[in-house]
Amino acid sequence: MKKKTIFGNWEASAIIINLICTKIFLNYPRLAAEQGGTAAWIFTIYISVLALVGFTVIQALYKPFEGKDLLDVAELAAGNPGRIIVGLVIIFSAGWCATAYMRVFSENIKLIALTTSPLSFVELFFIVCLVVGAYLGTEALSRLHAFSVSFIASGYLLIMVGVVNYIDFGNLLPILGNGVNEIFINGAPRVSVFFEMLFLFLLTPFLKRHGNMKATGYWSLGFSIFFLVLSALVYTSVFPYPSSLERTIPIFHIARLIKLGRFFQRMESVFLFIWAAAALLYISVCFYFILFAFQKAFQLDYYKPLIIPFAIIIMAVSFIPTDFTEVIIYEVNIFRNWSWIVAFVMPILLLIIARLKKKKPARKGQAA
Amino acid sequence: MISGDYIVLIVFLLCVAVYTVSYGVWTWKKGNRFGAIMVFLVAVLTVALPVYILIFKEV
Repeated sequence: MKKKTIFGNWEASAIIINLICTKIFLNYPRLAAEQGGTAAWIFTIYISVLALVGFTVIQALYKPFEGKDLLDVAELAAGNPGRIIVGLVIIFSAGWCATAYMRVFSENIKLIALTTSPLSFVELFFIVCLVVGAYLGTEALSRLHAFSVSFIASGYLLIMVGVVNYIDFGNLLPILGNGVNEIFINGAPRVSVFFEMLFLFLLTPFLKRHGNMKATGYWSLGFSIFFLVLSALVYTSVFPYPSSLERTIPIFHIARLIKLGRFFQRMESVFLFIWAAAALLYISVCFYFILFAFQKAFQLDYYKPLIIPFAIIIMAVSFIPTDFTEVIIYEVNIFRNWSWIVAFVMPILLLIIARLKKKKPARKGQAA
Repeated sequence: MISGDYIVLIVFLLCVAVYTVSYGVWTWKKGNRFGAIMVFLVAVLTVALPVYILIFKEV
C-alpha cells in the first residue's frame, strides 16, 4: 500500500511563507516604492487586505472539497479538459516563477559575490539543489522548510533591527505617496504579489482536513503580511524616495549599512546566506509543483523520470531573456500585474462550478 | 567546428531524451496515450531548448 504523505500546519505554513516572502530579498521593497512612493507600506497593507479577502472567499468555497487539490476540483468542474488546462496553467506559472527567480538570483549573486564566474556555473548550483529536492519529495521539502524558515526569518529580522539607527520617519512623507489613484486603483492588480498562495491549494491533500488548510492559509498570510509591510516600511524610511527606486537589491543595500561599533560589520554576508537559502527553497518547491502538476494533469504514474528533463528545460528557459533587466520587466510589468487572475479568480471560478455540478445530481435525485 | 564541451553536452542531452522517451513508451503501453505524447514532447524540448540556447544565446 502506497504511504500517503501528511504534514502539519507549521510545515505547510513555512512553505507558503517562504514562497511569498522570498521576493522581499529580490525586488519587492523597490516594487512597493515604485507603486506607492513614500506610501509603500500603505500600498502593502492594501494589497494584503485584498489577498486576505480573496483567501477568505476561496477557503469558504473549499469546504465541500476537503482533501482535494485544485486539479481534483478542476476535474470535478470540467472533467479531463478542465484538469489538463488548469494543470498547464499551474505548470507555466510555477515554471515562470522557477526560471525567473533562478535567473535573477544567479545574476544577483554574480553581481555581489561571483563576479567572474559564468552564469551557467552559478545556475548549476540551483539546478543540483532543485533536482535533489524533487527526488527527496514533498515530505523532505516540508521538513526542510519547517527547520529553515525560522532561521531565514530571524536573519531577516536581524537585518531590519540592525538599521534602526538609519530610520527616518520623515522619509515617509507625504503620507499618501504617489496618490490615492496609484495606490488603490492602479495598485490593486499588484495583489499578484500573493500569487504563491495558489500553491496552498495544491497542498490540501497533504493537510487532510479543511480546518488545517484554513489555519495554514491565515497563519502564512499573517506572517507574510508582517514581513512584507516591515520590508516596505524600513526600506522607504531608510532610503528616501526617489533614491529608493535606484537600488537593485534593496535588502542587500540595507544590510550594507549595518555597522554596530567595531564588532558588527559586513552584515551583508548574513544576508547572502539567508537570501541563498530562501531562493533555493523557493525554486525547489516551484520545481516540485511543476512536476506534481504535470504528473496529475496527464495522469502519469511517476514524476521522478521527468526530474532531469524538466531541470534541463528550466535551465534552458532561464537563459532565453537577454539580460537581468528583461526578466525584471516581465516579472514586474506582466507577471505581478496579471497573475492575480490565476491565483484568485481561477480557483474561485472552479470552486463555484464544481459546487454547482455537485448540487445538480442531488437536485435530480430529489426531483425523481 | 563544434567544441568538445558542446559534443559532451549534446550526448548527455540525448541520453536524457532517450530515457524520457522510454518512460513515454511505457506510459503509452499502459494505455495513457495523451500522457505519453506529453512525455515525448518533454523529451523533444529537453534537446531542442538547450541546443537553441547554445546556438543563439550566450551562456
